[in-house]
Amino acid sequence: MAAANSSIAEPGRLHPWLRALLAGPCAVGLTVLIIAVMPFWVPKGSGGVDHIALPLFFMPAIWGLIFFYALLDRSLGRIVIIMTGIAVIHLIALRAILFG
Amino acid sequence: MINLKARETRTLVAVHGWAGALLGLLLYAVIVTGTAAVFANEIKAWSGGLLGTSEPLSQPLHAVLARLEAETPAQFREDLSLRATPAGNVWVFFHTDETINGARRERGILTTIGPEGRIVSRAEGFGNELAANDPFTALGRFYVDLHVRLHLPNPWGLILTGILGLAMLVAAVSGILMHRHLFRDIFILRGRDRLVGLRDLHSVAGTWTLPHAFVLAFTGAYLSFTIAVALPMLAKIAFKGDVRAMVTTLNGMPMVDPRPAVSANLDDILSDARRRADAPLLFAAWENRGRADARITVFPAPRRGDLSASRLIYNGATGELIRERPIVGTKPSLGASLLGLIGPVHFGNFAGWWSRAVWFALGAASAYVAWSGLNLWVRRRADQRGWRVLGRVTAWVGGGLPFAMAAAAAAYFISLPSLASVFWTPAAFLIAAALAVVPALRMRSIERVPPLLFGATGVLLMALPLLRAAAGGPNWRAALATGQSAVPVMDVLVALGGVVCVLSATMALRTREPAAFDAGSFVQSAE
Repeated sequence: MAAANSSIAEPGRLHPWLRALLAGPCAVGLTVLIIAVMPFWVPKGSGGVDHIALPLFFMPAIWGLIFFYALLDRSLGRIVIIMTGIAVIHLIALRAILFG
Repeated sequence: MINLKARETRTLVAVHGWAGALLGLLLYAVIVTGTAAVFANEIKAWSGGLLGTSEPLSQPLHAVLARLEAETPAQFREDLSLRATPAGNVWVFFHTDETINGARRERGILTTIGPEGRIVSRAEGFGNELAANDPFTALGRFYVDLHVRLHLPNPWGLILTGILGLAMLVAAVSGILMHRHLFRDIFILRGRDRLVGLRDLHSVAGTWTLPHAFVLAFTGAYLSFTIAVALPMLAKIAFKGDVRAMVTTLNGMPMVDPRPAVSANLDDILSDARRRADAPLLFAAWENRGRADARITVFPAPRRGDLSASRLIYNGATGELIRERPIVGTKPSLGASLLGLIGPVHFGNFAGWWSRAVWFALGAASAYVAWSGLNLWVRRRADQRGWRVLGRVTAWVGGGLPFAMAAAAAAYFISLPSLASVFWTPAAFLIAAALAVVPALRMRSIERVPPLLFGATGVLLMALPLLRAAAGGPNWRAALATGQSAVPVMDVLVALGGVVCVLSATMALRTREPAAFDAGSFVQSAE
């Protein structure tokens, strides 16, 4: 019984650390990836600079959205899937930009 | 209000508390120095003692520049920049670009010109080092550097203050999300002497300053990370490492024509720029002098009622206006408009003294929020030794930082006549910070440490106008005659600040703080 309780409690102890990992370093990494790829899909605008200016301007907001999402969504699995999905899409785009 | 469930509220309370506990002291330091830096230009004009004119780039400069050029070695004549100093003089910098360890640096001769072309000072070296060694602006620069990068080397200081900006963003957003009764709570004050009273003050001050704190955190994180991380990263990825290509995109394509050409009359160009801008001129950069592709870029202050100003670009050979351009790009755009908002809303300089006074007051309130939040965190854990140590450190930084900043200002004025202010301003700050450790370590009642240090800060602040006069600073009549209202206004503000510090410290030291911290817990209250 004790062993069973311990095996149930183990994921519970890991959850805060996993959430901290997702809301901390992973949120920063994902923000960097999104900012790096944004110049290639954001329109240049009338002044020809929006694709550079908008990623720079919205950088704190992008990080904030990812951070609070990773903090408040109850399902860690869903957070992992969504963040990984966005990261993979951006990594593929970045690879195509740099080496394509 | 947003109705979060208890579990999410607990998470936000934990994040709000831990973000403050881990970074609160540094955040407090950045907010306090930023609050002082709101008046950075006024502090430079007030403390420098070099009276100039109200619009230094409107005076005739062509003749004095021709004379200076004749005395300047040919190697430095290629580029020229002119800057209006906060005290109303002109920095004239004949220079050339040099690449040192892969980094582009400007080297040349910097001359300070006073009214009617009088030469105030002259020195040769790298531009950033000459500016850093100017004894007359050492105090203002010290506060700004402390705010911008906590005096850490680049890029680490900017990265740290960027992280602090994000921490402030988290504290502001989590603070609003975790309150169920935000609008009711912002009017509730249940006394100052108990923990619940401190929580109320923290909550009320935090809520009233929330929009300002959010904007400052957002723009502060942008300003720090853009220079330190984001722009170099975008240069590497979007422009394949070609920084020149990125600058060309952001600033417009320069024409290249190295044929020799005579130079246009700078006075005519500055006069035309002043008329078009309908505002004082701040800076002018003249590239490729003596060539057909010479360009003069003039940076005016924003027109009255505007938040940002366009740059004016002139042909340096013919004197014709080539175009006006926004802060980035060659034409107005959404990106340029958004980036143009960052500076005014962060620095609070969009409506003169009034907006800066409001920014100063809100900054002081935000500093109180950071400090009271830390006190709440520590008092609730007063039975644990480790948190008690943080409590003493909080008392030391909370009272010691303003004290050390005031001591730095006093040392600046004392050392200014010997032109040693560049050394003594930071040295006095460190000495005063070390002295402030003594009461924080020795006094039995930790609550009495900050009022004691605030009282000492007040005494120093009241002495500053006298020290300024003793150091040979201009009197009010002379300052007002040259349009330098910063001198009397700062004298009055600093003295009043000193009186407020002494009075509030006296009241706090007379009040007996009850020992019990058994009031309602923060988490319970939040839920």
